[in-house]
Amino acid sequence: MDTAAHPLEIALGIAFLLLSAVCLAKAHRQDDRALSLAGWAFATIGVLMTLTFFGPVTDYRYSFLGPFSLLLFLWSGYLLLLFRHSLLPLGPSFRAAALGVTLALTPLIVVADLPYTDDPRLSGVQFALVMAIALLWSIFVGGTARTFWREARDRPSVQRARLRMLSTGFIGLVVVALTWAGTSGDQSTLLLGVKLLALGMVPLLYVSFAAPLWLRRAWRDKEETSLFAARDLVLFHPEIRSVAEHAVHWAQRLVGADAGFLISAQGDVLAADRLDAADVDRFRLEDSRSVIEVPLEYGEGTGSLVLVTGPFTPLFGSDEVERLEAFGSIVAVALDRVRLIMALGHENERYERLLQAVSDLDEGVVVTDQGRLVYANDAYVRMTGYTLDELMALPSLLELSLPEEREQITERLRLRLAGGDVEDHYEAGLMHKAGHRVDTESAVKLIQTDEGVRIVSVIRDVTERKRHERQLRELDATKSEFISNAAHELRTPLTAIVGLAATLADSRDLLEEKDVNACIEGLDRGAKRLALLVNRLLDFTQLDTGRLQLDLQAVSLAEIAEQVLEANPAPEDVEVRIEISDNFIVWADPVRLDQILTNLISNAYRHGGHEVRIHAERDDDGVLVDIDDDGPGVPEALIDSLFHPFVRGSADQQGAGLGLAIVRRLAEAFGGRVTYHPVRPHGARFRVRLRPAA
Amino acid sequence: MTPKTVLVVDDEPDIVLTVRLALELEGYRVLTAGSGEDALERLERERPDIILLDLRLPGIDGFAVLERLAQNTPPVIVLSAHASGGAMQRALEMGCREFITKPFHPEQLVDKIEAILQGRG
Repeated sequence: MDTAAHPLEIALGIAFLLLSAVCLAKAHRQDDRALSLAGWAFATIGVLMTLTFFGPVTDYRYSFLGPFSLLLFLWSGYLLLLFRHSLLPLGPSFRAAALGVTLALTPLIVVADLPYTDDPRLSGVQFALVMAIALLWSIFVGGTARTFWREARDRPSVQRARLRMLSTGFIGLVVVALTWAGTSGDQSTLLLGVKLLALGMVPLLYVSFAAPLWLRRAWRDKEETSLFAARDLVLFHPEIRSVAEHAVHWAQRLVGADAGFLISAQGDVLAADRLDAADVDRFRLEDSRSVIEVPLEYGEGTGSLVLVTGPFTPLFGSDEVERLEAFGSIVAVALDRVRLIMALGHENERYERLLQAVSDLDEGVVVTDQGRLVYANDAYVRMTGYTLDELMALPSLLELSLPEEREQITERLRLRLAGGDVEDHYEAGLMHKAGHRVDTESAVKLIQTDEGVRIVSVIRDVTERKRHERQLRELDATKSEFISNAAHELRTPLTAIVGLAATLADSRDLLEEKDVNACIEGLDRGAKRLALLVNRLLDFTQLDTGRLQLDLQAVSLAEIAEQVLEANPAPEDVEVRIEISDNFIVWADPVRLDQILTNLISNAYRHGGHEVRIHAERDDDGVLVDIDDDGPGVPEALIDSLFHPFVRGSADQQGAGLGLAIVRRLAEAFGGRVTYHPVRPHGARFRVRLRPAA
Repeated sequence: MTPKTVLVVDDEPDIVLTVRLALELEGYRVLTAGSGEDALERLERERPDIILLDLRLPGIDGFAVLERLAQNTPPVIVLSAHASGGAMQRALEMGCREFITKPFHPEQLVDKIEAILQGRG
């Protein structure tokens, strides 16, 4: 046997016992069940190693040592499995099976009566038992190593490094156990290597349970690097909750905590990671050993960043606390920054809303700096027909004003800038891009800004209003003219009536008989003319306002024409020809159609020559009735206004000047039309277009 | 005493009748003209003491007549149905002495004529 192996065995024994003592002490201090299980497992291994050393020394007479070592070995594996179970629970059936197998093997070891020698000669059954125990131990411990390795995968690097280290230690133990069990005494070199490997596992396991500062920092280093790279992104986020979330996330990663949350100065939970509201409340109330609270001093007061450690969180020393406090002060700065940004954001939002409101106005709003456009809302841009870019490119908005107004506007501006007393409201025109004039009404104010004086103008498009005003004025003028004309027409017969009546009343006795008769006839004519005039005026105004009651019906044109001619026989020197070939049935008010034809026929008698022709025919649109004469026709100058009220031929003294105006409006009220056409070589044609009744 | 002569220029026969009867009863001799051209032609042959002129006349109107009257024309009284101040002012500026708006009472007309003739005499 190799003597060098013996001191190694005692060293192994002592090492594992020490490891066990450290774990048990720490477990006791921290009330950590898992750690105490690990401690007991290492203690059994330590005792096993020590016994291995004592075996050869005490010779082979202590035959119980063989089975006892094997029992210790078997149960150390089960204890390590329980350690794993207390961290990451096993399935109940697996756990029961593990316990069952371990319990079943225990009496077998006692019964098998294994020899305890340096180089034992084992029977087949005995060898099988030893190999079974080695296999079971490997499954328990190797499985645990595998689970830790896998579990490390998604954890903060601090926890990951620790778990991997633990896992590596366990794997080392498995290798040692399997090799040792399968090695005979003459393979002393291999055995030596195995024992050295086992010794190497002890510090690995030690640091995984109580990592020194330098190692914890090394583990943290990777997270620090990531945090440094991502610090702007995570801590200077513009939204307070996401700053809090990032703070909690990175604090956990820095120290390998399992969960965390952040409470604002007002006591609100701004972020919680891997905890629900009930958990958070519980941790806030309880003074738990597994909770670390870092105060956050920021503008609103003191909040806190709270971390909850887990089973895989490595030792939590003052270094971690200091690191967290440093991190906390950065978080506090980030929180202050977010609050400022939010405050600015509110201000900005108000400004944006204001601008939007201004944009949505119907009135144009324009801000200029020495004529150049600084701001224009949509309404103004629309008003001009240009695009905003085009307006911005103009050296001065003055270019849009009307050339004739530019000088006045410039002068007013100069006065205003000089502090002169200038009316704030004025009307001006502006040239639309399409070339037409837009009438505007502006209200102007100077505002003092940091960059100098700006002129704010509120501009209203009053083109439509002006147009309405113009139309109203025109309408008003037309009405006034109509009233004036009507009054004028009334004055003439009134003059005759007043004068003749006065003459008769005062001086009837002085007058000759024929003059008395002339007076009476004049009075009669005046009264009739007055009555006619008043009737015509009424007709006209009713037609003009659409209030004339019409009795529209199917009417025989020929019948009405005959009726008119009967009532208005031609003067002696005029010949009337009537050419209505068919029985045209038209859509009209018979009384008013009579009025139309009467008016046109009497006009023809009065102004025409010796021949009047009434002719009717059908065309695609309706029935045409022409009243032609061979007189001089309507004078050129009169044609355009022929159908206007109070326009009449110079020779026409009898009418009210409303006849043709009424005729045209009546025909239109039937859905027809009256037009004038000169006849060559001379003569007049008035054409009445009527709608057929069918 | 020779009767004073009045020229009535109006295209409305009933107005002419009214004025003629009223003035003849007062002892005036009345001449009539139915249009501006008519009036100017008459004035070449005769010399009335006063002219009564309507403004709206066929052919050349009353204003044109006023414009063409000779420098030493007899005084003119305009008889018009125009009630607007514009026509009156224009007529007065063109040299008419009085502007009477229709309808008027015959006495009113006679009073104006007498006032002018006496003032002149």
